[in-house]
Amino acid sequence: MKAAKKIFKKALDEGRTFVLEHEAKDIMKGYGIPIPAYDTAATADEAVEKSKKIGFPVVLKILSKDILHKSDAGGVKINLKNEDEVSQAFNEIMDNAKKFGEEKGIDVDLSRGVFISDFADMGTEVIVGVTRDPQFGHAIMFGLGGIFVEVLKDVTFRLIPLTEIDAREMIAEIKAAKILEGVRGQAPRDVDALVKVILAVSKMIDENPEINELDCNPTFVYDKGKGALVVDARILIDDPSKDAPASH
Amino acid sequence: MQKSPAPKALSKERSLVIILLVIQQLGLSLGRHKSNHNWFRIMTNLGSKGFDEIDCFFNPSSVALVGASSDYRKLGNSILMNLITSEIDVYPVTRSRQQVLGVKAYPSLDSLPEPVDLVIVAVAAKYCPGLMSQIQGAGAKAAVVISGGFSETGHQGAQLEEELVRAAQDAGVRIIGPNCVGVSNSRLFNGTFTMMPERGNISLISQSGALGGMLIYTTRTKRIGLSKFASIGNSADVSFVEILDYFTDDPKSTVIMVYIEGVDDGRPFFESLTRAAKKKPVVVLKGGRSEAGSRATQSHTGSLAGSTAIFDGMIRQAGCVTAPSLDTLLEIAKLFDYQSLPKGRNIGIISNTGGAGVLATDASADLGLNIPALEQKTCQELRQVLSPMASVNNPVDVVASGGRGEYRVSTELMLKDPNLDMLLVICGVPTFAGMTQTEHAAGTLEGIRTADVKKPVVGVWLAGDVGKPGKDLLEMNRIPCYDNPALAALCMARVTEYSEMRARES
Repeated sequence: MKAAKKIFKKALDEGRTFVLEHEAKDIMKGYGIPIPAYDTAATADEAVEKSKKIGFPVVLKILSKDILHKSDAGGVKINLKNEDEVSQAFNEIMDNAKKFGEEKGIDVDLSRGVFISDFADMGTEVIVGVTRDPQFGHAIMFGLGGIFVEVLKDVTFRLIPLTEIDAREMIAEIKAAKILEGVRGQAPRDVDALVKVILAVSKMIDENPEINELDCNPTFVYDKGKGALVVDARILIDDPSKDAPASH
Repeated sequence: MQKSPAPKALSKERSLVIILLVIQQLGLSLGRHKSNHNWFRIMTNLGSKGFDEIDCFFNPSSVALVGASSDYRKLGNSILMNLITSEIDVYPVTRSRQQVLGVKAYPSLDSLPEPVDLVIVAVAAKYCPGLMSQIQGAGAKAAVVISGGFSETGHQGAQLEEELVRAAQDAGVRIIGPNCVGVSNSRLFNGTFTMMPERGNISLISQSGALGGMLIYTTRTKRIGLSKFASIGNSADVSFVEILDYFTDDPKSTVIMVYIEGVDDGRPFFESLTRAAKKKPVVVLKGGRSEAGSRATQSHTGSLAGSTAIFDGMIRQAGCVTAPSLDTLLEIAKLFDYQSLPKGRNIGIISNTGGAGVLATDASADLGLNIPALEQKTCQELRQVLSPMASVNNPVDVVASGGRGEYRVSTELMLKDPNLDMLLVICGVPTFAGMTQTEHAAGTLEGIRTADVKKPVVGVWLAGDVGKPGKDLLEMNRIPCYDNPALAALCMARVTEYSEMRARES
């Protein structure tokens, strides 16, 4: 995909090995990966306008080449229900980012403003990720979010590209698979939608091998028939000026 | 020693070679050939070039051993002993004697009277690179380098290994090793310094030499027959993948066992496993799983150990099954070899001890097998023949008084029950009430014969040595028999996984 290559080039030109959130979502959208409606805004007024278009509530996140971990920099405000909240959140995010830069001794670039996204309804939290293994190349990971991945390390891997059968087996083979079948009176989750996300990510990596790592975390999975949404996405890319890891 | 093979031991290809020899003697021109083996290949065009290249290692007509020794403490002595009990022509090469182990010896490869197909090298590492052009001169395109002292020992050794590979490439010789135990083909010859495995259908590739050699000994204890064995050592030239591809295409290998620690280039390995598993079951034991294990791997073969979670996912994706230990590697492969694949995950359990039946049920359920209820008809028929104290639903408990007749009927009825895809027969062998040590096994075998259905059966014979005669009886009839219900359940679960993976492909 040409658009992706352009985005990667721009990132490297700016000295980044990560792509900005709206760029990540632009690439993902091209592969049919479901994401909440989003836009960007450079000023508070613009943020209000764009938020109205997306529809409240919304989420605002800092967009800067100097900030990879947005929450650590106080760069994320969620569940903003009206114009005032958006306007106030925009200014707070800018202030926080400035302070963050002062503490770290860097001149944070704030010219891009913020990323605005529809505040997605809570679903069952899962993670779809990609890593590059030194021997096997790109591998895709699937697991349930939160403590399942962090504490129990209940995740499973397949090499990219993978088939639909592989994707279904991944989903079925984690220890917490029963949660997706619907427990304690919950409806079964939309596993078909999840399979589509996994396959789309596989295709995206297969066609863009310069992606080094990727996290779709969290991805929300809703009731059967209601789909899934990749709420937050992080894409890290190769820096060809450094020793290139073996491509698959 | 020039032996002519006994007629009944003639393989198809050797008969062909003889037919071709006859043709040549009749004055028909077949062109210029270096060796019999070569024209067999020209005439039959067997498979791909890759297959033929590796086939030289496993189906040679004549083998030279460089480093043959009459000193029983030398590997060159053990290898020669193995070679002269093989169905091939053997040419020992040594400067020190004219005869070794009663066989005429030659001072160098250049002095051999006939071209050879394969050369086994067991001399000090520093002499190995220089031998490659002589190997070419002797007509061989394949060499197994047993000698150690190469990349496994450090920088200097690594340089010597590079020199060896370059010399081999220049001479058009493929090499297995260096630093390996050798190769064997149980139907033809033993080119290792360990024992010859029993003849069978399973082929084994081992990245670890000593472990591979040890596995050979264990196969004998476990009544496992091997088709071919390759210890690939440092795999400086012929790679793991090439051997795996060869075993995949080899009709005499019907199950493949793999011991691997690390691969440098994972993708070709994954693709090779995928191809193999589409044709035959592949059981993989991965060494170097823990962090401590990974460090041991690096110092052992100098190759990288893969991250465990990705490796496990890769194995499943390839359609292979994993073995968690050495013991299970052999047992799972044996079950694949001995029995047919199950059509589903429903397991029936028969026992004469309720406790063992419970343990087997637990283990099966933990591994995702189903323990379904039996058809009503099966229960009714069981009720008519079993003791009133017996439990006639799955797991069936024939109770301690159940002997040959009860095992026969239960086995037959359960195998015929459409709700079941496989059967696990357990026996705590009793020494009381006039029971004989083998009657339960005999009854089980009779039941299997009468039922005459294609469903896998395994046994679990408890009671240690007391149970051994019954266990032996089952295994001689190709019913794998274990000491432990959990191991039986694990093996059944793995063949079920493979069966499902094969089904999903079609």
